[in-house]
Amino acid sequence: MFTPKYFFTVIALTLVSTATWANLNLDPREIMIKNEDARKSVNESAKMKMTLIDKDNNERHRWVDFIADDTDPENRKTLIRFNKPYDIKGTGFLSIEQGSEDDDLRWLYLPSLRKIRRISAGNKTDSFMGTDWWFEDFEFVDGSAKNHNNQYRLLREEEKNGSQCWVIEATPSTPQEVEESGYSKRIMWIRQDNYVLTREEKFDKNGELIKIQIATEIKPIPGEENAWRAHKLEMISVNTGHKTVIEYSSYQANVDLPQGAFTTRYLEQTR
Amino acid sequence: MKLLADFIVFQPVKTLVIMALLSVLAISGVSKLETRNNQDSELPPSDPIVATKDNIDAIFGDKGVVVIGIEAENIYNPSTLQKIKAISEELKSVDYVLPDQITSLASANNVKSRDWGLDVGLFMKQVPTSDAEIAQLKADVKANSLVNGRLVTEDGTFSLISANVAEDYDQATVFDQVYKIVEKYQGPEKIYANGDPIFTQEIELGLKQDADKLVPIAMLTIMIGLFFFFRTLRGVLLPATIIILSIGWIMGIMGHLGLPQTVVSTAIPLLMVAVASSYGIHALLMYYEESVHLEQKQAVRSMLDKLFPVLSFVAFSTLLGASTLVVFQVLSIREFAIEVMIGTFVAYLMTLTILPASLSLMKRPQKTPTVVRKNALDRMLVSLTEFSIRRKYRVLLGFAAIMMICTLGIMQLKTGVDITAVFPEDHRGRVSFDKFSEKLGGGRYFNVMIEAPAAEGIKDPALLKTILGYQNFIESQQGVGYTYSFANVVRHISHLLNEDYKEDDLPQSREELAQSLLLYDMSARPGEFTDLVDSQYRRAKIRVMLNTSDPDDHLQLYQLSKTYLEENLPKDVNIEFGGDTMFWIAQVHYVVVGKIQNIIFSIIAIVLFVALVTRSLTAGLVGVAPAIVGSVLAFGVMGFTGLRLEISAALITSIAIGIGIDFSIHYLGRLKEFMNDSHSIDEALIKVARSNGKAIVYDTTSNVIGFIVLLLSGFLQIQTFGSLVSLTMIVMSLGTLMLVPALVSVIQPKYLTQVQLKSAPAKTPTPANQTSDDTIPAGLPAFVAK
Repeated sequence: MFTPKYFFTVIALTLVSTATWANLNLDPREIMIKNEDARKSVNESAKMKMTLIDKDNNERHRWVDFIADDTDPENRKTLIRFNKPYDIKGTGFLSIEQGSEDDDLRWLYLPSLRKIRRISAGNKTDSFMGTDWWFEDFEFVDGSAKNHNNQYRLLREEEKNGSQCWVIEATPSTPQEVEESGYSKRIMWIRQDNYVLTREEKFDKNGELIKIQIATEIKPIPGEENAWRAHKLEMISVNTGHKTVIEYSSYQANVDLPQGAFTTRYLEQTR
Repeated sequence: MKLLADFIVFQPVKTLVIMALLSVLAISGVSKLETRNNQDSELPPSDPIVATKDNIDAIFGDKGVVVIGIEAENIYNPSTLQKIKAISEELKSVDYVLPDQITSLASANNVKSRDWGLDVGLFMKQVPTSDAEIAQLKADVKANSLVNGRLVTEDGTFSLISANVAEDYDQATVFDQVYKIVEKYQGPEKIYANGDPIFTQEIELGLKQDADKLVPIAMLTIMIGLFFFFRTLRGVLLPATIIILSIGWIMGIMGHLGLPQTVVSTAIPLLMVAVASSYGIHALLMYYEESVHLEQKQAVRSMLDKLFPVLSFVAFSTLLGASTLVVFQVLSIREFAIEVMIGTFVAYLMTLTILPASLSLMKRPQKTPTVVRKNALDRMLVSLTEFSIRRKYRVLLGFAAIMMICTLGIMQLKTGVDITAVFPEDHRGRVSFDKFSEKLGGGRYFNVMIEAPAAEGIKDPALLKTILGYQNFIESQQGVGYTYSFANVVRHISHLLNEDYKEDDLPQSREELAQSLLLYDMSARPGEFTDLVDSQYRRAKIRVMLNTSDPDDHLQLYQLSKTYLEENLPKDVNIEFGGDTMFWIAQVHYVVVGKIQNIIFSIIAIVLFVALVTRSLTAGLVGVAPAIVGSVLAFGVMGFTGLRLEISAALITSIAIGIGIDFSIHYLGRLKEFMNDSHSIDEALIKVARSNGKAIVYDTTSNVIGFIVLLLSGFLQIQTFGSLVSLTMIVMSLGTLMLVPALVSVIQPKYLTQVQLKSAPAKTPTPANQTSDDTIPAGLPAFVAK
């Protein structure tokens, strides 16, 4: 029996399934660009707790204040100020990315010596503050900024941690990226409902799985539409059993950052 | 017993079938045989050194280290640097290697002072190609005290790549894969591999090659020896069959019982060659004697009647000797004792079953066998005994003089394993070991762990200053190449941040120290310091590299370190020592104490055993004399030649003495028997020389032939032991043939003189050629034959 009610139901179902079909046929690069878009480039501030956990489950903690100016993804500016433990309180780290061509600028301020020292950008595979993250892990290699460094392949779709995900493989595609990156490939789980990366497995140049990143507590960015942030990140080094957990609190987006917040002068001002 | 003997002789085919089936069952265990390379379980865990080593291992991981060295005229050239990078990269894919714990010029972290600030990162981000880049790298290395002289020699001719391997690593796998890399990149640079997994595997490969080579050669030479004794095919093939089956059985039984193969147990096959051939010779000598006047089956049956008690006695004395090894606190020696006991029993079983059953299937020899005919050997033995009786005091003095001289040697006896002396100078393992010692100040090391009372305690600048003080102190001692600790890293970074800091200046406060470390963290891998400090910053490890391989030096450095640290560190700071060198220091103690206990127990056991059987304590004391002479001589010669007392020396001398004891036991038993039939002790002594002397000479010869093959070993120590054991056995047989008659002649023991002598005592010993008895059974002690 054909009724208008059924008609709309069929139309609606068709639309939904078309949309799903469209999603399924998304080019993996487009998915990655949408993943980048879902982060949104904003000014943000947060408190971060870093927990370094060794294989015997011994924990060390560091608390930092964090501000970032993400309005120009090519020139991301970050300032990190250590709060605890007490012996590194006041130590500051300023980083200004210089696009894809030039080395980033970094400075470190050590209050005990009252000295500010510029430090080199180092390698992509250098550890970030002794954590299990490499500097490379923070690069926006998958989005609009440097999207041609990698090629992407949609492996499958599956449910992960209660969300339907695309499983995408990224491999370095330029000779420079092949040389500089610490990874031969990465496999990423991107949520289909909000394009947020929930899990990433990273393989070294011999093809061995070396690191696993898990993102949880994914929350919308206040005041932004379709923008999300994971408030808890975990990076596990498979070989050593060492891992680092970063937890965000007091997260604020689109904040008014202090004038000259990303200058060495500001870096020296301990509170 | 009679029924069983009848069955063996009169149902030989059934006997052989049963033994064949049992052999299949026993030998099937070979497939279950496992190898144990791990030293950790060797010593009692309650030992203070073992306990402290275990503590350090628990905190810093019981990791093995593989090191690869690259030698070139000048390593600062693009091609060699590229090789360093490529090898560092390829090591990551070696099984068990921890990919993020590889240290080389290509992976080492460096903080460099530049005019614009601090350059944090790797020494070589890319392999330098231009002269300017190479000059910069060279300058960076020179400026970094953590690397200069440690990763690269100061003269730039040698560079090191080191890789930690996981705790449960398989040594053979690591060895094979590392050597594949070494061979791939070999030339024009010289590439060397070393480290615990590599060196230990070299030793094990050498032992395996030895076993594969030496056992067949020993078999062959013994077969030639057997041919010379017996001049018959059966005289060669039957003992050979027993030897081969005994080796198969013992290896199989070890597999069934779960006794692993260890470095120590590789001696088992060779030992079985010695024991089984000795039993075979006893049995065949008796058979040939019987066959002179009996038909084949009767001869075999009669042989079996006489052999059973004799062989039981001999086997029991060997078991007794081996059982005294159980006093050792070293696991593989205790296992070895059990294996020797099983092996002895197997050889005993074979000699009593397969040998008579096979003989029973053969025909009686046509002519009087050569072995029972009188020959020059008999005359020589009699002359020797006559000499010992006539010049008894001189003989005793002579032995006493030898003992005195050897005692001087014993006073110089060194203990412990000098690992470099294991291989000949041109051996790959030795060349590599020497190269690392020569170039980078050490092929061996020990660790010191400093434990603060609470977490973060290591960040105390005062504590780090004491640690640096200790490092300076120990580095000034002979035998220490260099030291490395967390304090070096802290000093290096703080000097980069403070241009005015001098020599050993360290951060002034905890805050400065923590913040300097944070700078290092900017590029360090998480857990970069796991080898130097624990994640709680409570315990720090100091590595002391040694360029001496002398265990006495190791012990002295350990004691110096302990005293220095106990005096200089606060009382609430705990100190522990670790590293393989510590294991060897601990082991020396157990080997020396074990050896002394083992000698005492052996002597007591022999004295009691002989005393019990002869019912005379004097006989017991006389009986033990050749074994004491043999031991003193062995250790004296070791002392004079600089041969060290360590596991293999302890074992081989015990076994040699164990075998040698049979001589005097046989001799004394036989002597008592002949007393019934002689006019004087001296006459009885001559008779014993003619009968038992021959068996002793044959036995000694076959054992010496077996052990002298050790001269072909790939190991210097084992080569020397081949000669040493042979010498010991010869001295013990001479001790039996000369010292015992001289002693008996002087002491005139009651248990012999109380025997009813023949009515007219002879004034002078009867010369050998006047004796009417041409075929006195050899090798049969009266007290067990009757």
